[in-house]
Amino acid sequence: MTRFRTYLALERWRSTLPTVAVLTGALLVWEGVVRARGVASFLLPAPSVVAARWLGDATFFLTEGGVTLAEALAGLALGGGLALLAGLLMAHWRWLERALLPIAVLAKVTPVVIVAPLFVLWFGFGPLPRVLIAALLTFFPVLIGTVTGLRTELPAARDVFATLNATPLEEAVLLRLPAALPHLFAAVKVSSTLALLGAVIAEWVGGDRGLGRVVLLANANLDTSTALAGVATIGAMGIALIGGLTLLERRVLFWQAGG
Amino acid sequence: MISARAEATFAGPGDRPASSTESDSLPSTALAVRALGVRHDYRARAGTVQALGRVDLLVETGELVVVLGPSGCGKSTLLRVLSGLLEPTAGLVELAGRPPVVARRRHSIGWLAQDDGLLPWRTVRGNAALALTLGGRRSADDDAVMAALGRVGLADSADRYPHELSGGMRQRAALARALVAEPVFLFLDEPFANLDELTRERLGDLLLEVRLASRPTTLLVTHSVTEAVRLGDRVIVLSPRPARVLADLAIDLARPRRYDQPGFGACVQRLKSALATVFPGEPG
Repeated sequence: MTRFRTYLALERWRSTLPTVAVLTGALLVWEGVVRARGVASFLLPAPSVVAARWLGDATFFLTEGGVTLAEALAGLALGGGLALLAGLLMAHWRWLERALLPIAVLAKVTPVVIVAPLFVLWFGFGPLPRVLIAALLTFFPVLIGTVTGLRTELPAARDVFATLNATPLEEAVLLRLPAALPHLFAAVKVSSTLALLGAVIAEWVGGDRGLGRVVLLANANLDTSTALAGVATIGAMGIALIGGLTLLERRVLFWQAGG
Repeated sequence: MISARAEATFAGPGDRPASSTESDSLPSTALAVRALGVRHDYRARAGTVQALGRVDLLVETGELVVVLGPSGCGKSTLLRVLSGLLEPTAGLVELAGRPPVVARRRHSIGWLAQDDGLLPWRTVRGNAALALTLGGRRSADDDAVMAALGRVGLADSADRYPHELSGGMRQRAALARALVAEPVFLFLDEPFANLDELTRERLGDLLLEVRLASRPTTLLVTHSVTEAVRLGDRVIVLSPRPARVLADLAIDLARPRRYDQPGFGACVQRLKSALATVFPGEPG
């Protein structure tokens, strides 16, 4: 058993090895080129400089990152929650889908950079417009995931439920909702990075806090190392979000692994 | 003994005369299943398809009737109509003298199909318990669930999930779910078709064994002639679509049945011959 675990750990390491190797290689080349050519730090700082900038002011980046993450998560909860509700209703009443889906598509195809200033105009400079932008970006994928998931065909189980005289509510709660979870998780994973993107864009357009604001200001001041440290923080948060959701997914959808 | 109206009959042990007047005059309460002139049409891209064309079928309480025919002949449709999952386009269907919906409301139908329909996120115990909790009933009697699992030999696997089980074990879990509410009717739609031959035979024996307690009236759909002869009290052969009852053969062989017992081969041959007349080229 222990040997098997060691083997698994080794396999996991082996599967992440290519990523680590490529990333390290790229950073080394970057570092080398910047040093050899003596590239100005406002144009392109070496990775070591960016790292030093981050480590020298870790609390700042973590605090501002926390603001952005909180906005993204609030947006994800709000947008995802509303989309789940809308999806439940739309899966139940087809006419509602026909009525609401075009509006959802319209909201989806409207570029967020155009909507964001309007939201700031309407909802002020506080966190509200940022949360709303994140929610807007989250809404569509979760909606589609919910509707698709709830329409998953499980004919054999449905027959069993029918012969057992199950009520529509029982069928929804005990059969359709759990069966929709895989789709829902996929949608939430996609949406989580979109929510982060939405929060950053909203901060960019009009905000007093958050990493979007940090990167915007740093760019304006030609403080490229700060901008890149901010970008790296956003990237790390995105990876952490996806990673956390994947772990949760494995826990909740344990039955998918062997099925 | 009651006979279904047969389109064609053949001489041999257990054959019964084809008669519709006799069956029509019987009091419906004496019968477990009464289907008269059942037709079912469904809409396909090419137009309306007639799956069942005037099927008459009468089944006595406690009888195990096998519905035999190759894939696509409408035997699954017949089972769905009888269990009330589908409404017949025309004709009469009664379970214990009432429409199928009444039997469903009373939780007197046990259903098991080729696809076990187990919920992958529920344990074996949780799946079996569904039959006791759905439809507004709230008494998840764990003793009854465990007793049913014990009957199918899965008591030790009660807390395992379907994806941890073999195909045969999954079907046994589904059988436990079908049995746990002590149904009056057991409808089985090719329940063992996905299994290897040995497992299939074992599950057939298990089915006969678990029926002994409460003797639910059982309809078993299969395309296997030997399975039909091994399990059935009576075998109904369906014609190609639109399905009609082509032959109706009582299997008067002693139980437990073995392939080498006298009369077994003859029964198999008779059914194969009946099938060959309408399904040329189809191996029985």
